[in-house]
Amino acid sequence: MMKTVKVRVESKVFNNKINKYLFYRKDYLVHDEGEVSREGDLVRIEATRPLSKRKFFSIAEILRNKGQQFAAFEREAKVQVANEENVKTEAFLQKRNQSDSTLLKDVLFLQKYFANNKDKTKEDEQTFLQIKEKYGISGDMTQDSIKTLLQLDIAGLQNKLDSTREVLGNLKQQLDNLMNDDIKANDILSKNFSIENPSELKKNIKKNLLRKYILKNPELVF
Amino acid sequence: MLSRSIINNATLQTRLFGTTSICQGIKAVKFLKAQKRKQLNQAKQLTLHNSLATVVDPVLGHEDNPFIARIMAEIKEPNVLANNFAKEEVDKFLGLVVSTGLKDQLGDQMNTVLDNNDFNTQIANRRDSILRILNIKNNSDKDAMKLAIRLAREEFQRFPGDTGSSEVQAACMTVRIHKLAKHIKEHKKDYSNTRILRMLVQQRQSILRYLKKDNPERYYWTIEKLGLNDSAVVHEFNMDKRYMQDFNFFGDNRILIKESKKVAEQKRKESRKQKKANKVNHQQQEAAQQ
Repeated sequence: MMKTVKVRVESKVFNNKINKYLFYRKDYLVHDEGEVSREGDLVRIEATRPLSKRKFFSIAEILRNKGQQFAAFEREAKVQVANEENVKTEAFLQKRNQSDSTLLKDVLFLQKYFANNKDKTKEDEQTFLQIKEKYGISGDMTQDSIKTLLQLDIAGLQNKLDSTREVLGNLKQQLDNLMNDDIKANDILSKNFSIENPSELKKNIKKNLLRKYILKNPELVF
Repeated sequence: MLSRSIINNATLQTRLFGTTSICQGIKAVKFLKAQKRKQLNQAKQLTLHNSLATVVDPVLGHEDNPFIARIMAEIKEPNVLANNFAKEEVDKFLGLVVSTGLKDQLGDQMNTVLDNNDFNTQIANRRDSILRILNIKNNSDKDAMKLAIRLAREEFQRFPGDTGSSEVQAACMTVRIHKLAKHIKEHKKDYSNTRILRMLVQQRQSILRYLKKDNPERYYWTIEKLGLNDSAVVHEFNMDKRYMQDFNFFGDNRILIKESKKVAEQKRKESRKQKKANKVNHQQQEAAQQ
């Protein structure tokens, strides 16, 4: 059926016997000259002369083009996913071909290099420079810089934990201050969350909103 | 001439006696033509309905889905470590142990020890053994699943650390579904796990349905990535024996549901019709080419 779509018309009719509304639906075959509508669209239909045995309506306008949007999303997704998968698969294959980590060997070499004060061969010097370049160390390299090479991520994690703890500790203090200072709190609520009557808000909701605001703007102090 | 007309008359008379009239009216011919056209159309619709483009396995999705293939390959890589460890971390750890130990024990004699071949091979052996212990192959299946689910989560997350969004949940469930389906194919009588798989598929469907309502753009991206399609999500589905038979789940064309005579006859009829239609289609195409 070219240029034809099925349109479902739903009607609400009050039933006196059971005293409530019932939904009735009827499907019509409808003429769609441009063939633009997609499944899921909300359309307005108009009566025309009979176009075939079962067809005597045609689409007048598309009120909500949800179906068209979905069709577009589907089309875009296909292209996007294909591209993404290509990139990811390539990265995966590259990772597979990556050479083994030589960190331990390099560290052992460096220790030998630093312990040996007298006779350093030319080859040793060359590998030393190579290692320096590999790990991106500029400037002088000493026994201590081995430690930085070997630094486990635990220290970094500790720092991260400390910083978040600090933020959370401050948060409680700041939140208490704001909850006591009504004028400031109302100002923030009306400006940032577009609330008309901040003073009528429940206490817990107010607190939640203020917490959100403080977390969003960590540089502000109250 | 004369004799021929006599014979014709004779045959006509015998035919007309006691039988209904022969279908040669214009209406009857029209009807037959229309019926033939209808049958052809029905057969065409059936092939369209059954073609691979529209029907997607609602449990496993498209075959050769790159996302699932990649995730499953990642588990079997030779150099992947369990518990999210990296090789560099092992190196750093060993390096620290070796360097501190050397300084404490030896002091000045360090240089001679470092030159010693036995010492170097010992360290290399240590490294190998640690890597072997941590290798995903020597860890439990559970750890491998954890890795797979982590990778899936990282690919679908909306922001770093997102574990609860609908697409992440759907992706994790998909990984689990593929794992379980593989297990069930090998253990046909594991009914309790079959039930778990059935529930997982239903749950994934419902969460994807919610995502469609919530964020359609993301929904289409997700189902495309997971190898599903819209009808696999929206239509009612139960992972029953009918599904297993239709999609040849166990791979041996086994008959899991015995059909009644009536249904079997109906199916035979349909297939016959389809065959006929295919033949006619083929002939038409050949004629068009000539």
